[in-house]
Amino acid sequence: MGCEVIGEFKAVTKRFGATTALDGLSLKISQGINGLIGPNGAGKTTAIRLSLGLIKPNAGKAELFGFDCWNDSCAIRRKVGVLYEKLAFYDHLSGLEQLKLMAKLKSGSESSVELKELLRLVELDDAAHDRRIGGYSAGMRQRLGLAQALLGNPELVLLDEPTSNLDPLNRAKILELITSLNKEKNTSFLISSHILPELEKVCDTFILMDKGKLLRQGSLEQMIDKTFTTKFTVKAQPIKQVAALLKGEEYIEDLSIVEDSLHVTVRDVGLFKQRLPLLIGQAGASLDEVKMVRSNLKSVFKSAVEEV
Amino acid sequence: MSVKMGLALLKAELEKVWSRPILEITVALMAVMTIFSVRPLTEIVSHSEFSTAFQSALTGSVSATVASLMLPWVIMCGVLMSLSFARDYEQGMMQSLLSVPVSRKLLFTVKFVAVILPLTLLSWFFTTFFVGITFYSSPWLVLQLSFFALPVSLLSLMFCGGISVLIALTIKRTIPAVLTALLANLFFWFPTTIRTQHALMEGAGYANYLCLTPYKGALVFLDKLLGIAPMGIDIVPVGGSSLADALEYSLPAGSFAVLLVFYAFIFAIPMFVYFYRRFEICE
Ligand SMILES: Nc1ncnc2c1ncn2[C@@H]1O[C@H](COP(=O)(O)OP(=O)(O)O)[C@@H](O)[C@H]1O
Ligand SMILES: [Mg+2]
Repeated sequence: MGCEVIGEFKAVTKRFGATTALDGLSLKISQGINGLIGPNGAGKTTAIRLSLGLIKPNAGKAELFGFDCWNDSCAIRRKVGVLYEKLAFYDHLSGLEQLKLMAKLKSGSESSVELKELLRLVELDDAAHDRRIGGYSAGMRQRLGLAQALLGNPELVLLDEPTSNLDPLNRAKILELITSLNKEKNTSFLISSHILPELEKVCDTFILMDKGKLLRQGSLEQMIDKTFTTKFTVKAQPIKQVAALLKGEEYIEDLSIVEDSLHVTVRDVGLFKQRLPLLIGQAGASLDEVKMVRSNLKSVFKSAVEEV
Repeated sequence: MSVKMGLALLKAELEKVWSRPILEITVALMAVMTIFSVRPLTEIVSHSEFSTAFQSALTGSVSATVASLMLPWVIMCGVLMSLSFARDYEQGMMQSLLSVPVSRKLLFTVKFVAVILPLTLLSWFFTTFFVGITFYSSPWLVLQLSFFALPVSLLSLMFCGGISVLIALTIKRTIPAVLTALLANLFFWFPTTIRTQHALMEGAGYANYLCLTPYKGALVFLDKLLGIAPMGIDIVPVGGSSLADALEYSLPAGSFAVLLVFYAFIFAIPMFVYFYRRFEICE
């Protein structure tokens, strides 16, 4: 997977009255699967709307495929598919008719066979193809929306909380579909979500944001490297005494006792590993277990939020 | 390509706006209004002995038909137009359609036409049909009316639609937008219920200017096209000037045509430009 940049936000600010939804946001969208991650109200939806030219930035510049998002949005919309958080269709049409209409609007015309295939790909059962959308369940609407986003083989697909209406099993299936589309057709994705663990597995790069600002950007490894502290859990007896000893060490950032183990945040891993046995020996305590806590997206995100 | 896209979109919009009970309600409203306002020929004949008076009463009845048809238009156009824009904005349909390469100009035009076109055709059909079967003895009048009713209804509906879009895009909430559009349009429609002659005789000076309001102006224009001159305008009310000097009677048909075109575009064009140049879709 290449890391070619296909879109870029340069210090984009967007205000809605008194609220600043995007606050000098700079980010890069690369080829592959991008995860746009942030808590509710971080500005993810606003960023997606802005990239399709639905709203105009107050300051800064946003570009996709070299086109300006506000001025050349039609050119962008030819190459990009999107699934919004809020799903809206012509409810009087059937799923297939809706897709036909959108396909016509997107790329001239598309055959029913291909469209049916697309509907099967997102696992909308055949019986539903010719039923009115008005009678669809939330999950079916989500699938139809996804199919709509994939119309006309887009180069980039923007998905705003694509799994919010699905149960865990179907979430996993959708994410699988995204991965396979990326592999087979080289389609790039930008997936916004506040559910961190599910994105961790599928995304190549992550864009972490909060309060309209970029916190971090890069692959998981890159981001973990940037997190200078490392967490350990230590099991030792007697725990209180060991805690008291460690508290005096200057490379310890944070320390707490949770049940029978010690949670330690360490600034210098080498020094910690060297000093720990010595300290334990001094105290005449016994060391049962030392484990490094694997950094995951959540911990990276947490530390990134705390840093600001 | 672009025309084909537009037509496909227009078809979907038409089906959506004019779904099940809406079309039926509109047709019923228009039919009721027309049937009640067409004065039967027999009634006119028995009351008018002179041919000029007969002609005047005849055409007067015709213009009254158009006037009463105007109420269902104004209501339906105001409601449907503001509903179409505000609801689509609120429910996310607008952003959904603008996620494919549909230009904003096309989307606005399609949404506007989807409301205006059926209403224009309906009102044209109703005037022609009902006036036709009642006044079959004056085919020339029916033909004339049929010819003039089309542009006059189109232009007044464009004003109605324009102001309703303005309200919908400003308020952005479906129910308040629909109610406001309804009230605003009824406000402009109200002058059509005032007879200028009578009001002026009563000494109400403001009535002189009512013909400059959009809907009343449209009716006056139609009257002039049909050659209707109200009887008794040479009467001079006590302490006033001759009724013939009132704007409604003294201004030529051309100035009303200009006025009507002006009203038709005064909101429609700015809203079109605003929608494709600046309007932000973030609901
Ligand atoms: N149309 C709008 N009007 C006013 N404020 C808005 C609007 N859209 C978004 N916001 C505000 O901008 C911020 C970011 O919103 P959003 O982009 O929807 O966040 P997210 O999708 O990450 O949950 C929020 O504080 C929200 O209240
Ligand atoms: Mg959101």
